Amino acid sequence: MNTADRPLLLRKCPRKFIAYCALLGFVCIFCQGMQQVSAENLSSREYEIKAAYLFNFIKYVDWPTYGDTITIGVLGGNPFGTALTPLNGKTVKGRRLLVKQLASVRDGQNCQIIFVSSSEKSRLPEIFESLKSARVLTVGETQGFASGGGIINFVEENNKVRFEINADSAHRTGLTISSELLKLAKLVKS
Amino acid sequence: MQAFRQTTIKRKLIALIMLISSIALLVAFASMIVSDYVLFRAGLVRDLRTLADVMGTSASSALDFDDEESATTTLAALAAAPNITTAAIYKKDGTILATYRRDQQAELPPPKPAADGYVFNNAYFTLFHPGYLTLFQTITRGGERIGKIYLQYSLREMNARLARYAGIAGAIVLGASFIAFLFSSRLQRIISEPVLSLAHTARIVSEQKNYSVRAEKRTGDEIGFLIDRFNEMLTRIEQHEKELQEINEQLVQSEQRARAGTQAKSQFLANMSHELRTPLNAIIGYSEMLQEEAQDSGQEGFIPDLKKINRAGRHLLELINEVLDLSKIEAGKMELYLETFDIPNLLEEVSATVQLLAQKNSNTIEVHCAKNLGAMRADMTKVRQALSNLLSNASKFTKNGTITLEAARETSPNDGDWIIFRVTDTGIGMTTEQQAKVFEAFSQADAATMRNFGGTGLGLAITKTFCQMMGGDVTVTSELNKGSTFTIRLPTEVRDFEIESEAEPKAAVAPSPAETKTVLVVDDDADTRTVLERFLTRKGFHVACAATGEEGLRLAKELRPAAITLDVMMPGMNGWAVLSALKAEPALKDIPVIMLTIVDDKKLGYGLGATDYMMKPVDRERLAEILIKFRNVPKPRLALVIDDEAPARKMLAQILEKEGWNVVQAENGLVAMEKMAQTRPDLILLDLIMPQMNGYEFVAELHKNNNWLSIPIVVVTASDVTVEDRLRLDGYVEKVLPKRALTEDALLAEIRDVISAFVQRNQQKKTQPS
Repeated sequence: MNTADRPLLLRKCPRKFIAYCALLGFVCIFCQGMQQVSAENLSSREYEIKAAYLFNFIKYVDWPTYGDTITIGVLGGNPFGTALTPLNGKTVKGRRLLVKQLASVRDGQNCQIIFVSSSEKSRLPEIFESLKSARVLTVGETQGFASGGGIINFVEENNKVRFEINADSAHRTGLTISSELLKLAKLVKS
Repeated sequence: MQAFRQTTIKRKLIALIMLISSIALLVAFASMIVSDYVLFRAGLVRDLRTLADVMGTSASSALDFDDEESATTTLAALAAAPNITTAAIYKKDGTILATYRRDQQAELPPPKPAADGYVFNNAYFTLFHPGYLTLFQTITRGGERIGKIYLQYSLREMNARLARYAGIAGAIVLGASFIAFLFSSRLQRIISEPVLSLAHTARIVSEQKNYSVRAEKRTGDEIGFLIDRFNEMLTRIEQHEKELQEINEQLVQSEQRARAGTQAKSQFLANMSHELRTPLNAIIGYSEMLQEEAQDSGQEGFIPDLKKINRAGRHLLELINEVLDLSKIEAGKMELYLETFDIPNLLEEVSATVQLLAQKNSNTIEVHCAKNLGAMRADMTKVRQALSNLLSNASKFTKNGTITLEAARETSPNDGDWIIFRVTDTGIGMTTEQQAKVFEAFSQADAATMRNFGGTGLGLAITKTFCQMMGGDVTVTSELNKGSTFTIRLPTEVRDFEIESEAEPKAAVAPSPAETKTVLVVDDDADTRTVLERFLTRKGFHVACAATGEEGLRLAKELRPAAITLDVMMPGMNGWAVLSALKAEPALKDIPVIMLTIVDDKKLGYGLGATDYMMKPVDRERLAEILIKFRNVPKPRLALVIDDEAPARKMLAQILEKEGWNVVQAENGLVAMEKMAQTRPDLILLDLIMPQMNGYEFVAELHKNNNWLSIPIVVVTASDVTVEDRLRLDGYVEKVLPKRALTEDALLAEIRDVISAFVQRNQQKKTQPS
C-alpha cells in the first residue's frame, strides 16, 4: 500500500499542524475581539462620563452672575447622543439645568457652559473670539482647545477621561474655578 | 488561714494595714485606668471621625471626577498620622477609588465598605479589634452622599500607654505598700504593744509564779481596761498567795510543835516505862523468889500474900507495857520481827499464861487445834500478845463459862494461805454500838466496866494494830449476854514491808569446848542481878555478875562462860557495844549471848549476833530452858540434807536449823560424798530419786566406810517405796518418810520425832560413859 511506505511522522504532522494553526488563529481573534470590546466600552461610556463631568463642573465653578437657570449648550455635532438628556431639568446649586443644541456661537450668549464638539476644530479661533467677553465656561474635546483659548478640555489618558484647565482663560472670562477642580486637572497656558 | 490565726498580733496588724492600703490603691488605679481607657477610646473615635471628615472633604472632588490619582495623593497625607495603618476611599457605587497602606505589613482595606459581614450604610461605623480600630464614614457634600472612607487606626500606642499606666500603677502600689509597711510597723505598736506587754506579764506570772509583777497601762481603751482588771486579779492572787503562805507556815510550825510534842511524849513514856519497870521487875522478881524460899523454908503462910504482890506487880507491868506499846504505835515506831514458829506450841503457851486469870472467874479454856497447822512466819511476840489479849479479855468478861481458842489454816485461791485464830467466850457479850468501838483505844464498854473489870482498855486497840501490821485483821461478832467471838486472820507468811530481816537468830551456836556451867549476868541494876543470880543458882548454874559493860567483857574473857545474859540500857558501855565487842573477839564470839532488856529491838540484837532476845520482866523458866539447852548441847551437831529439789531441801534445812542443827546441803549423792569427805555429819536426810548418784547408791557407798556406819539416815522421798526397796534400805536407814502421802505439817512432825528420838538416844549414849 502506498500510505504504508510514507514515514509515520510525515503522515501525521500536517493534520496536527493545521490544528495548532487553527487554535492560534482563534486565540488571536478572541484577544482582538476582547480589546475591541473594552475600547467599545470606553467609547460607549465616554460621553456618559463626560456628561457627568459637565454636570460636576457646575459645582466647582462660580459664575459672576446667574439667572434662574444654568444652561449647557452643545456647539457643533452632538457626540453625547442621549447622554445629556437626563441632565435636562436637574437642579444644581438651586437652579434648574437646561441643555440645548446651539446652532451658532451667537446662540450661546446666554449659556453658562458651552460644549464645543470636535467637529468645530477648524473654527475654534472664531468661536473663542466671539465668546471673548461672554462669561461662559467653554469645554472642548479637541487637541489644543484649552491652550488655544478654551477653559476646560477633555483628554484621554490611560483609557480614562481626564481634563485640562486653562486658568488664565477662566480668569479672563471672570469665572472662578475651585482649587479642588484645578487640583484634579492638567493645567495649561495660552 | 490557720497560719495567719496562729501568728502574732503585730504581724496581723501589719498584714491588715498593708492589705487594706493595697486594695485602696489598686481600686483607685483600676478605676483611673478604666476611665482613662474609656475616655481615650471616645476621644479616639471623635478624632478619627474628624480626620475622616477632612479626608473625605478633600477627596470629594476626586470622587466627583473619579480621580484615583488625586484621591491617592489625598490619602497619602495620612503619612503624617502615624497611627493610621490603612485607609481607603470608596466610590458611590462601593468600589475602591484609592487606598493607603502605611507600609508593607499594613493590612489591605476591605474590597467593599463592609465589616464582619455588616454592610455599612449609615453616617459612620466604628469597630474595635484587639489591635486596631476601624472606621467607615460616609463622605457627603451638601447633603449628598458621594462616597465612603475607611480608616484603620492602630491601637498599639494606646495599648502601650495602658500597659505603661498599669506598670506605673503597679510600681506605685508596691512603693505605697512598702511605705504602708514602714508606717504600719511603727503604728501597729499603738495597738499591739499594750497587748504584747500584757502577754509578757502573763507569761512571767505563769512561768515564774511571780504575782508581784504588774502590767503597765498605757492606754485608756479596752486594752487599758483589760490591763486594769488583770492587775486587780494579780493583786488578789498575790494577797491569797501571801495568806496561804502564812497559813502554811503556821501549819508547818504547829506541825513541828506537834511533832516535837509527840517526840517528847514518846521520850517521856520510854523514860517513864524504864523507870517504872526497873523497880517493878525487882518487885516481881523478889516476890517470886520469896515464894520459892518460903516454900523451901516451910513458911507457907506468906505465900498467898507474896502471890498477891506478884500478881499486882504483873498487872501493873502489863498496864505499863500496853501504854508503852500504844505510844510506840502512835509514834510509828512499832516494828515487826518476823520468825517462823510452830503454831500449836504457841497456842499451848498462850493458853497456859491465861490459865490463872481464867480460873479466877471459874472459866475453862479449851484449845482446838487443827491437825495441819504446823508453822507460820510472823512476829511471834505480837501474835502471842494479841492472842493473850483476846484470851484475858474473854476471861475477864466471862464467869463460869468456857473460853475456846481455835486455830485453823485457810487457803483461798485468790489471796493465799491464812491462819485463823478464833477466841470464843460465853460471857456478857456486847451490843452493836459497843462492837463498833471495841477496837478503839481507851474505850471499854463504859467507865463502869473499867472499874469492874480492870485493864486499860488498850489491849484490843493494840491487838488490832498488830494484826494489821502483819497484813491481817481482827474482827468481832457478839451477842449481848451470850458471848463474843474474836477472829484474828493472819497470812501464813507475813511480809515485812519495810526491810525483810536477814538476820535470823543463830539458833545453835557452838558453846565453848569446856563444858562449863558458868553464866555471866551483865546488868547495871543490882536488883536484877541479885534476882537472876539467885534464880540461876537454884537452877544449878554458876553465876558471875558484872555491873557494867566493861566489867562484863573482862569477866567473859577470864571465865569463858557457857552463856551471857546482857542488858542494853547501861551507863557507860551499853549492851549493844558489849555485844559487838564480844562478837568481834574470836575467842568469845561463840559464847551465846541472851539479851535481857526492856528495849524492844530484836532486829538490832539479832543483827549484832545475839543468840536470843528476851524482854524484861524475864520469863525465868524460859530463860532457864534456853540456858540449859546451851549447857546440854554436846558437840556441834551437823545434818546433811541431800535432795535434788532445792525448795524441799531448803525447807528441810530450815526446820533442822530451827531445831538447832548446823546444816550442810547437797543436791545429789555425789556432791554429798564430797561433803562427807570434808566433815562427818551427825544426821543425814536423804532423797531417793536423784540424778548422778541416787539414794540407794549413796547408802551403799556410805556403808563401805566403817566410820560412817553409825550416822542415822532418814529417807524423805516423793517416790513410792516398794517392799523390795525397803529391803534394800532396811538396816541402813532410821525411817522412810514418803513426801506425797503426808501433808507438809505431818512431814515436819515426823522429822521432828525422828530428830528428837535421835537426840535423846545420842544424849543417852553420852551420859552412859560419864
